[in-house]
Amino acid sequence: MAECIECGAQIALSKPEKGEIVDCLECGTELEVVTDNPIALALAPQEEEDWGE
Amino acid sequence: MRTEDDHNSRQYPKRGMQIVRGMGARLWDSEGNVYLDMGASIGVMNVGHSNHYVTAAIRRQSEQLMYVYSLFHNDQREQLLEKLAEITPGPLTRSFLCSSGTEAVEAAIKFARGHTKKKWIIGAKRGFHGKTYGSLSATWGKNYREPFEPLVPDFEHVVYGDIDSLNEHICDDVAAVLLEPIQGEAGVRLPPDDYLRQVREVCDEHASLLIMDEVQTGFGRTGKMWGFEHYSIEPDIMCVAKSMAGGFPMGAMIARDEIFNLPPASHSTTFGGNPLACAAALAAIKYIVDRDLCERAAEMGDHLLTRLREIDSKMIREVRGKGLMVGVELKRKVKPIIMGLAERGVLAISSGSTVLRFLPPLVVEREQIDFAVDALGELIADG
Repeated sequence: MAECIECGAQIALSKPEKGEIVDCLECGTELEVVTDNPIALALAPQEEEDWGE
Repeated sequence: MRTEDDHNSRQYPKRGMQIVRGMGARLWDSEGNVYLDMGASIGVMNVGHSNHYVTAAIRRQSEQLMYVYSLFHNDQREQLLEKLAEITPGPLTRSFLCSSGTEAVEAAIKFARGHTKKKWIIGAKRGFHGKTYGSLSATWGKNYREPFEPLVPDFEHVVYGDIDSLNEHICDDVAAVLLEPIQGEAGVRLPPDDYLRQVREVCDEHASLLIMDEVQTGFGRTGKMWGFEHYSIEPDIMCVAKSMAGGFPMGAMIARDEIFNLPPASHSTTFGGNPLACAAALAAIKYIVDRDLCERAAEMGDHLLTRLREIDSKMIREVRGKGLMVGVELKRKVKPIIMGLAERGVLAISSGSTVLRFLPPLVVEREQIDFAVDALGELIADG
């Protein structure tokens, strides 16, 4: 488990890898695994996405 | 392309090709390159590009009558309203016709509040319902919401798939609970099997309406005509659009008779129910029914899911979906994969930053699915 750095929600991660991207299911923040042992998360780099539905 | 970029709204990030022709599941660009449209142009082209039922109906109707306001009866509108009542659950017998999904959701919110005389609308975290003010207020993503606040008041968002979360927020002043049967923009997220049935019960206990947003899931996309059919429930209101008219702009809010009890002219839209759109919708629906595209979507969707799950890649976190609404959640950003697929002739779309979303036309061939999966495998398979 890891903690969202934005809202503090618990995030389940199975075999986390450095560089992995994960969304917080509580607040939607995109996070990047910056170290995998121990697990540390940071805000994922933002880039232009598709425009949505 | 440069001229378009010079004068457009800057609201649609471009993929770098100019698409000029389509047929079935294929698109061609202005340089003659052919692409497999595995996103059905954001889930619109269920019956395939330039479907001959739809193009013939549009050609025929455009020479007969393109537009007349809904103050007058019209034969095409009459047939479409009857058809919508026929293909939706029994109690849903009336429709408000419009031109897009967000308009259908706006109508649902207004009729729900107007009919129940209650104010709260409950949506779901990660839910997507459109980007005009009412529908945006029900949409969850902060990237869509924050630049335009303040939004419409008295909207709340609960955790999708968690009935306890809904129970914590429901009260007797809730006009409606508005949900997608499968969350699309959120990354093709399916609810637990009994969730929507429990939501239905909670709504009934509090005399709140249940609105199903079928804009993306409707018209056979998930292997049944409507997404909620997988969960054995019936909503009070449903919102449809996208594939409704085979690529022609069309939407509808469909509901029980008594919900349409607002004073005349309380809610209307100039182009809603225009004969040309109605003719296109009738043709698209007829094609879906005649060719049994729901069953085809179920069969091809099973094949797509099976093939995707065979890809051996550490980059894949999960493959999920129903029918031809499929998401591949990656552990990395999906944008480079989408660009790589395009270079291999496959157009897919994203859900957020990590989910690759496949919403191919329901007419997609098995060999075309194999081509797309092989292209993805080349990009992400281990070894």
